[in-house]
Amino acid sequence: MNFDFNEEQYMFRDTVRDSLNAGFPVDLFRDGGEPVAMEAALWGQLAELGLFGLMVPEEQGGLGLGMVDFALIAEEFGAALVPLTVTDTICASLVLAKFAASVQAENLAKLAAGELRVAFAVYEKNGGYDPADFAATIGGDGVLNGRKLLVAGADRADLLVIVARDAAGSLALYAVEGTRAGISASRETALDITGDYHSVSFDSVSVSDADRIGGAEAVEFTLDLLAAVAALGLAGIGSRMLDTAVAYVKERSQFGQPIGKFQAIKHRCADMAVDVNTARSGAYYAAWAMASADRAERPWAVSMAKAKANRMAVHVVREAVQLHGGMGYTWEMALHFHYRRARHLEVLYGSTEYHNERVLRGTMAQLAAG
Amino acid sequence: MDFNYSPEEQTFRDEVRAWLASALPKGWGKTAFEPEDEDERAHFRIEWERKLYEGGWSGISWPTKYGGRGATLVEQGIFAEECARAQAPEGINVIGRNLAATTLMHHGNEAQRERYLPRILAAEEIWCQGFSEPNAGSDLASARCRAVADGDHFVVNGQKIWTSFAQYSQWCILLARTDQDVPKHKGLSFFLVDMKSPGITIRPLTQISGENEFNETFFEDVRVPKENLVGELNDGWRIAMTTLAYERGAEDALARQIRFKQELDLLIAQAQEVRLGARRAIDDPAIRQRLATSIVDLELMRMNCLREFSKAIKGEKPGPESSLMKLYWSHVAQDMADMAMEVLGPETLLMQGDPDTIARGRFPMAFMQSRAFTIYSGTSEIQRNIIAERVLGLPK
Repeated sequence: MNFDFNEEQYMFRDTVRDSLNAGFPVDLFRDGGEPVAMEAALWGQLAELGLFGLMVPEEQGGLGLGMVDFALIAEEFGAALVPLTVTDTICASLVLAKFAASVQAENLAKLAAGELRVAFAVYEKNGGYDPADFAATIGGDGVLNGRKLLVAGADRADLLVIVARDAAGSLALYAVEGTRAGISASRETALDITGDYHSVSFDSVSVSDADRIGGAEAVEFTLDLLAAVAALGLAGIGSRMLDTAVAYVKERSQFGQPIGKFQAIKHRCADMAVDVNTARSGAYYAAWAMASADRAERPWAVSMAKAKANRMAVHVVREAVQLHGGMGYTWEMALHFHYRRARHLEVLYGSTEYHNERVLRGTMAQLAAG
Repeated sequence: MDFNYSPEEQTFRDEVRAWLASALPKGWGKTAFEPEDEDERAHFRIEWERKLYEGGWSGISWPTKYGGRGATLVEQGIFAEECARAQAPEGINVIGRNLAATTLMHHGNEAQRERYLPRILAAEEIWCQGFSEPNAGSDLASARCRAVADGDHFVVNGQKIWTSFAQYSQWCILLARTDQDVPKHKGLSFFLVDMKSPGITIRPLTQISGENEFNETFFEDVRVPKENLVGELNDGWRIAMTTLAYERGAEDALARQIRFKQELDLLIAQAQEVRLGARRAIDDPAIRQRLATSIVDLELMRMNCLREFSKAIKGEKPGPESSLMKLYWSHVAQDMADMAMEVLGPETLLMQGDPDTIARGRFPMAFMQSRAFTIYSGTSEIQRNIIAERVLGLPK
């Protein structure tokens, strides 16, 4: 029993943090940076650090590490507003390696080298969060029809990983190159303007068995993975917003003293710190669960982490804006980029209510089993 | 990072479980319960602590030379979990084991450790805590209870309040003023006081729950030998901060978490029994959300504890960060106790006697008791000040 990271994991985190602070500061967004161009510049920087190969098996040129090793990095990605194209690609490496390592060997090698972009095409209008309710379907004729929303960087993704119902009516996961006939992406204007999101139409797209990554288990794993990584990202956002707010209230002076000297301000900061600390505990546990827990504990752990991260992020980011006063409401102060991303991660990868329900079911199953 | 237990730890767990099953009365937690009368219950708990000691289960992670088992903090945690799972009685010497003993291990001299620690473990001597005063609550450093040197002794005069278990205690850790002429934090000293000393009067205080756990304690010309001073004269504030860090720390919180989780499990079980008209409480979506919120909050209380535990295993001492845990759990537990009153219908209000009483009136009792969580060992407001100033570095 040990709920801590090791020295190497902390050191790697520090390296990534320093690199992001230097090459990908939030000022770039404030100063009118275009997310797609910014991502292109960032991609090479991250590839140089070996980040894309983190969870790719060594046989395909990766580091062969796992989710616990990625946890602190995912948190930094959240804090720095790293585009979701990056997290999608890194998450995809784990999914492809776990469920289709031999078929996807070539893609995994490219991914490790930073030469493959992957986008997850999961959520749909009227689909909610439970994949059982998703409509995208592959017919008996082997063609996929459906429409997916909020797919990050879909227009330039080399590979789309899609949740769809197969010809037998079962949930399944497919990986299809982005250029395949019948796939069209159109860029959406979304709340989060730190990345580019697309709706993707699959109009009679031919899909074969070779494209199949796995069945219901692969779908469950993928959605848990995306939620766990979102929880880690939210923890990073919360932590960054807390630091930003604390630094501001130490500097900002009113009534002849730093406002951080007033208890009304101190107490709000303390509550934020408690919330960030607890959301971290949950997100780290979810990272461990993705790597090591069984199929019953994993979704339970992930949903706890995501439910808490959702509540924490809404609270902490809202407070960060409030503590900055009028400045917090300005574009210039740039808090809104985190505010937007926080809501994006919160709403896309499972609402608090959705994850709460999964937690309760898991707990009741545990209690029934004794 | 690894949440799995080693084979040795698993074996240890099996041993604890087997011993508890043999040591607790037959039908424990189902047909056999603790005595209803508070006084009888206190003595029942002292007896239980002695039984634990005789079985070799006291001071799991304490050094063997003080009578402990010399085991790891992980095993200490396993023991706490198993006790809670078996619904074993809580100890009454919590202040002795968790506060007096840990403080002596850090700041006491060897003679004090050898004199006091083994008897704390054996539950031969029960301890209480003389910190708060009527005019020194949140502003603890302004304590006015005085200790004046007189030959080989200090003479103590003053009043303490909220002294839990004083009526069962042989000893008291006392914070008293030894210098009036320096800033308030710098004139306090930390003493060990024999509760049988002439001049000590205890007056019970009745809590909102109707219980009489805590007291007012009066000291009138109480003579305390000089060897009962802990650490240096006038260094009491710093020593008391160690005591408080343990009071707010992971070990304490982990054991509480398990008890809270049992209450929540009981509530979930009752929600599957109780009908609110046409449907069971558990089938109401709004109630499901509230139950789930408490599950998440409580499980993450455990995760917070385990993260702190892992730091302690690496050798980090508890510091102001323990306030993050205390502030968190106290509100989470209060929210849960409030929620329990709101999801099971009118019969929740029955406390005893009526056949429709739910869970022997446990939920309304817990609801009343839960008000104390955000007040004792430092109010939430004080915890927030500590976090803001000492963890986040905001100006004083």
